[in-house]
Amino acid sequence: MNYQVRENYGIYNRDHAGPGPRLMSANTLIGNDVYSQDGENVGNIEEIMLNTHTGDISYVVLSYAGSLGEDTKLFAVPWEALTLDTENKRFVLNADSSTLEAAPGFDKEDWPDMADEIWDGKINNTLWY
Amino acid sequence: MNYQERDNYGMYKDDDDGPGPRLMGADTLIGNDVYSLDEENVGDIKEIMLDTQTGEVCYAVLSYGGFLGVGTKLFAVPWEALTLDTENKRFVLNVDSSALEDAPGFDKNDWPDMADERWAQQIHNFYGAGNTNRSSHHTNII
Repeated sequence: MNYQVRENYGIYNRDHAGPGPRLMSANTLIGNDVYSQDGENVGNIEEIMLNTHTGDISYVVLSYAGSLGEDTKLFAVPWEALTLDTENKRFVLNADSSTLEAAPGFDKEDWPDMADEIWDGKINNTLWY
Repeated sequence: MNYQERDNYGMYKDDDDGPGPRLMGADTLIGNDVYSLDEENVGDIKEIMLDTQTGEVCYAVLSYGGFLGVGTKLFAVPWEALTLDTENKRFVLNVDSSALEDAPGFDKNDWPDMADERWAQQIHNFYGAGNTNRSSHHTNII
């Protein structure tokens, strides 16, 4: 699933080449494939968390099933940890799949309070940089 | 349609009262009702446009259906022009419904280049949301 397949309006019609669209719609990004730096398909974008006070993207929520076929866990990664690969039309996480295996995730039945600063500190703790 | 109804993950389960969630999932906002300042239901959120370089929310794309007649027109509003009304669980646009008849829109089959500065300035001028430089802005939460 990628952003061009998902979009219904022709938003990206003029973006045939170059670094990709500057403005992208949240709806077309949800469900996009995410690959690790070592080329593994590590999951999909499930949600994009927006900070309503500042108008910034706070986190992207990825779903990752794990190489051992465990239950799908969710991970919150900073927007800056993702790069758009316009050639393959997918996102690349700036970490290897082994990092994700060891990362703190959460169960989709137990969504954390993402505005909690302690949790926020965990996420931004250079895990993804 | 409101963000709590669209919340499949229970991300808002602890936000029953107070100023509302500070972090909201983009997917839960799609389809939310938008009301004008004079409390007319003017449409709903169709898309949320993100600036991939700066990681900011730039625009919400609305359809002003019913009120201005059914059609294929869409309208982009700066994110700062919307306020979250947590009591009624909807968004409020910072203009009266009468002003929207002149709102700059586009055909849904012909999206503008939203990164174009002149287009952006036109939109920001109409909604009085300041200039396109986002360095000092905040979104009001009622």
